Amino acid sequence: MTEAIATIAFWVFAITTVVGALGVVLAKRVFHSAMFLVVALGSTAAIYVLLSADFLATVQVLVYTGAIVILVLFAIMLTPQSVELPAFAPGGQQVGGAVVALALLALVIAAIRTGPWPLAAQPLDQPTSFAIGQGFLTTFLFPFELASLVLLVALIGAILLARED
Amino acid sequence: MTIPSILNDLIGQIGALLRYLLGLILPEGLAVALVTLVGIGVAVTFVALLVMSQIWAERKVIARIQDRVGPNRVGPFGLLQSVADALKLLTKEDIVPSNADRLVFALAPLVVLVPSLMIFAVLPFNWDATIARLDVGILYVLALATLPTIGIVMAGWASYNNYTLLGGMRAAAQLISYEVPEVLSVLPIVLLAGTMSLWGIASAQQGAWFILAPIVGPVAFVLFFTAGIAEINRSPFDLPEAESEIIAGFHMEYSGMRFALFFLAEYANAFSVSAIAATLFFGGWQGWILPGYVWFVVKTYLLFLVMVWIRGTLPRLRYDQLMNLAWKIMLPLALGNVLLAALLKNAGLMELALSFGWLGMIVLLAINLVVVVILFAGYNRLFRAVRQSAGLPLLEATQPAAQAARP
Repeated sequence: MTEAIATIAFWVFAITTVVGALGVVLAKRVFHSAMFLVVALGSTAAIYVLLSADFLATVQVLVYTGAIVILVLFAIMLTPQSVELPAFAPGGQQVGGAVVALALLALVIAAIRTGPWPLAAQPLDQPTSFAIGQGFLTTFLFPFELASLVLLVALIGAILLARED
Repeated sequence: MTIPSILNDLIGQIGALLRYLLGLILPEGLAVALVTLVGIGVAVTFVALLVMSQIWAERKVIARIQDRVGPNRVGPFGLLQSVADALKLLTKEDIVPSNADRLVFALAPLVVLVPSLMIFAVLPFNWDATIARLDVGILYVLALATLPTIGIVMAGWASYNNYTLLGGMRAAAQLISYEVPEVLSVLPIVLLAGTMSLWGIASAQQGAWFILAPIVGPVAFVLFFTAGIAEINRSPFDLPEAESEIIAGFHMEYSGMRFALFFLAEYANAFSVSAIAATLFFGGWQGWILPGYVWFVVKTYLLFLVMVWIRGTLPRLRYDQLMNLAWKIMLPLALGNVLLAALLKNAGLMELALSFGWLGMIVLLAINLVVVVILFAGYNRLFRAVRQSAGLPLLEATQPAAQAARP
């Protein structure tokens, strides 16, 4: 019963993720692309919930749909020609874009096929935030702090770029 | 079992009874699912009724602040005014601007309303009356609280109107700025409680409410409440819908039920921000004699009335003031407060005070009151010094002139 519901839910959200991702690329208006981005990111969060990664799911919504999409929308509204985009980029960019996209696809497929994907016998039905917090401040303290340092450098860089003098 | 304790368990008892009765005729899983659905239905109906009472209360209180009477025609004390308004909105024509992006225009009110309702799933009305005891409760609330802004931006963009677009942009910039201090102001409470679950945070305050935590509690509360009001675009942070500047901002082109959905979401948000503040700082359902859910609603309602009071008292902020407040004042304060909370937690001050029982709590309260008085006095001196150095007259110097100018 629960298994069946989980499977149905997975396929529903998997399809909306893919549809949303395609919509981001194919929509004619930038604003619609941003809307599709919300769908794609939200469905990803739902898939995290199905994998009982509650902390990751809420952070996904908080950071991506909550902050990043809103920044994107804000930027779209600030651009002068906010309404229409040319349907296709000029010729040279199309070829380059296709090559990069195909290379990325090959890389991702290779990673999926060669990676060992250890599966737990059963989905962990317990809160994850405690273990994540423990991990961040003990085992993975150095990478965690390093990531903060990178963000700090990016922040200072942004302020330097924005300064007018 | 005494009568108060029966009343206290009332919601849980009804739920258990319903589950038992359904379990007689249905398989176990289906019965649990149905009871959950009933719970959701009760919560949504509760929200609709709540919003009506909130609108009435707000209009009455604002009217008193402005020396008016307020609604008093429909029903006793004007209590049925909101019902009449809802019926009026239902029968109004549904207008869509001809240049509007129809799909986005239609979706926007829903994107605003649905996350606001979803927050009600984790509100701990009582120890046995929380629909979902999520382990990441407060994070879930903070995440969902950002989503209505996407709907506001959608409404602003889809209406194809410069004023609505400006309203949407303002909402986006405001959210980005105030989300940071809001999240940071919750962190000290999570530190003190040792859990992110709203149910757990409310339970952890059995001894003392977190507002009593020396310095940390009041500062976190003021920061959270301010950022919360800013995030739900209530006055004095109502720049996205500033009537005197951009007409009605993002919801200008909406009429009838679509507008009503925005209105519903606005008041549901006001309630949930007050409810979260009551849970984080004022002990949620903790109280004496009365059942827990009564305490919860009373505390939340009092905080909502503070919001109304603020709306009736303060003028709207200017845009640069809005940004200065978030980035230059609230963010450093919130960061310092996190540090202080960590020190407090490590020193075990709360536990020490609580070991003295009532006396400890009174000491904590006294410390906080002294801090508040010192802060106010300091602010007063700073204000005077700034005005004097700028060569401006002090307030009491302008007062008699203002009074003499009155007709």
